[in-house]
Amino acid sequence: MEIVQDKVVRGTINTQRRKLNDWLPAQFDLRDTWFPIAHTNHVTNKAIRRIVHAQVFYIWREGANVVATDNHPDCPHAARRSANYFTGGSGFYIVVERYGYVWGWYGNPENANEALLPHIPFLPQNGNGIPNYMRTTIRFDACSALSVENLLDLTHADFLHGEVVGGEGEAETDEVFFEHTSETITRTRMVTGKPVSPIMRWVGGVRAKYQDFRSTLHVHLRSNLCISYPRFEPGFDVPNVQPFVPSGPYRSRVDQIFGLDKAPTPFRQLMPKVAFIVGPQDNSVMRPQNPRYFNLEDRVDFHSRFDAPGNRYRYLMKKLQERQNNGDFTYSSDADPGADISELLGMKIKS
Amino acid sequence: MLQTIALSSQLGTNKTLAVNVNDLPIVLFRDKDDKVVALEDRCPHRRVPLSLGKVIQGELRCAYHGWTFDGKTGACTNIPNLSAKESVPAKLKAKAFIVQEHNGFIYWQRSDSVHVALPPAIFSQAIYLAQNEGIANLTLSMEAYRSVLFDGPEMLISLYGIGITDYFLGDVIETEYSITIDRAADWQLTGRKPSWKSPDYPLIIRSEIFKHTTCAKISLLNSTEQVLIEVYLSVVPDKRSTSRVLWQARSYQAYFDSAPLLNKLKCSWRKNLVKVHEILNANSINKLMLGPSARLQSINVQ
Repeated sequence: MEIVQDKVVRGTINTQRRKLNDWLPAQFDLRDTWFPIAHTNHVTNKAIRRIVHAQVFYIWREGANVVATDNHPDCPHAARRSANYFTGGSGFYIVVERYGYVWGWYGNPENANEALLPHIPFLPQNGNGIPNYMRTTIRFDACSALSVENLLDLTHADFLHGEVVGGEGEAETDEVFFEHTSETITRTRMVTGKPVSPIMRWVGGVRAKYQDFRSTLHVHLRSNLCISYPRFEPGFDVPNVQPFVPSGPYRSRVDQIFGLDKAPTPFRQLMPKVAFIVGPQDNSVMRPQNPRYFNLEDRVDFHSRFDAPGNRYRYLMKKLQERQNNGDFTYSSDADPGADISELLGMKIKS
Repeated sequence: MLQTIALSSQLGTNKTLAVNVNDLPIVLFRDKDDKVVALEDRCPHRRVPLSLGKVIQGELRCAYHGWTFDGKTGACTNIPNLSAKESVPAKLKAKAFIVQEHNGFIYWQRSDSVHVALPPAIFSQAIYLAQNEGIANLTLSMEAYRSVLFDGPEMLISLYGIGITDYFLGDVIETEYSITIDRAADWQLTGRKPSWKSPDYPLIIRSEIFKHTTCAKISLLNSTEQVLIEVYLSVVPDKRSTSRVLWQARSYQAYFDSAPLLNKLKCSWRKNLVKVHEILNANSINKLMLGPSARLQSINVQ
């Protein structure tokens, strides 16, 4: 596997290594961002409860509108949390529905801006027509940053998910490159001549022996929202959104949506269910991994060159947190979370 | 110091075994010569327990990214997907420990700077009728366990057909290697405490704690001090003040020669005369009167 780094020269890699020791993924609390806090089909006229970091969201519908508050609508102590920074003291969060999710603004409500909602080009903006079978909910026993590291990493598939997506180690060519802004990191992998994965063969009906694949993962750092666009040829595109919403430092929740409307039956119905196989496989290592990152240590994690995207992610997260700790919650000029990412995801580019 | 951390029988070929000594996680496995090796149970790459991985040709491959480690040195011998021209940097290592297999236990050496001699044989006799072993995980700290072994061993172990009293026979005897206390016992098919009215208790329970180790032995003797049963216990301090007791036991012909007829008949078909309890009666332990264990505090037993 060849890692090509567009914007990082070798000298800065060494500097990054020295700074990578203080990686405390459970302690990130990045603000002024939108979190997809619930599937829209989970929100009814009866309040449901969700957590973002340590903030409680009660969400329900009143007529056509979605409402989110920091205390239960039936709670007799309704005034108790009215001094909440995240609601500006009103008790109400700013929420919006888009792409099949209810999004909640996490941060200073005065800075809420719908233009900062991520662009998800393969889902309908109004969320209409997304079948329930394309939605899943998986909980991970680790903080969201470790989960994103897992997703950015490419070398674990053969070991953790071999029977589902395996064979990547046997490809003819395998190239990885990544790019970033101050608010996002995008990792693209291009593989040729890899054995067709079991899921593609036995569920997707791909009869060829080998296939090419291009997979782009686009990560929004503040919210750990991951937008993934894998394309398989022969085969299908399997676009999906995985928002790793932090539920404190110990757990994270992923309300995943797939955009499989162009895939054939039964692949489109069964592919989302693979999350219930792959998720626990990842969880089997992340669960014991998580507590080992609670405290600063005097020993570094070792890295290989295949860890370059993950190392960059660590670096960017720490820079962002540093800025916010200094009171700067703004988005830098290089970052536009709402920008069209169709081309970045490779939706219009054939591999 | 040598610390027992597992029974040899717990570790099969091509398997991993995760154990803790206090908060230190250790993974055991066998190398290609079937010798036990030990690493810190933590991959130096992303801190995932190496015990989740696989033993491949005597080396341990991490379950997450496939980094592979030599058990003796901890050196990383393979990172998947490196080209043929690339080598693994020498600094990429897991922490390795010295371990040895002996007496049916796996011993871990706390310090790797000085070679420590292996302990002597744990049983007094080579010829026995039955030998058993087991593990008990307890919500009792190592220190508390050993003090109860001294003051009330019947709360921790049962010997089939034997009732243990709390009638101490003499005082604590201290030698260079151990500290012991005897108490009376009697034949009791029900295992209940013998009647206090009985004029004679023909058996002796000897509790022995070995200094400079975390090991102890409970021996059942007859009135001529022939050894009938021996139970060797190694108490390993585990996480959150729990303990893991690794035990081996032998029963000897003298047990059957000494036993009353009814006991002989009932015991003749039993393969295991020893039970080391995992579920303890906290109320009884709470109420246990302080006795000879008071002497443990004044001597160096570890």
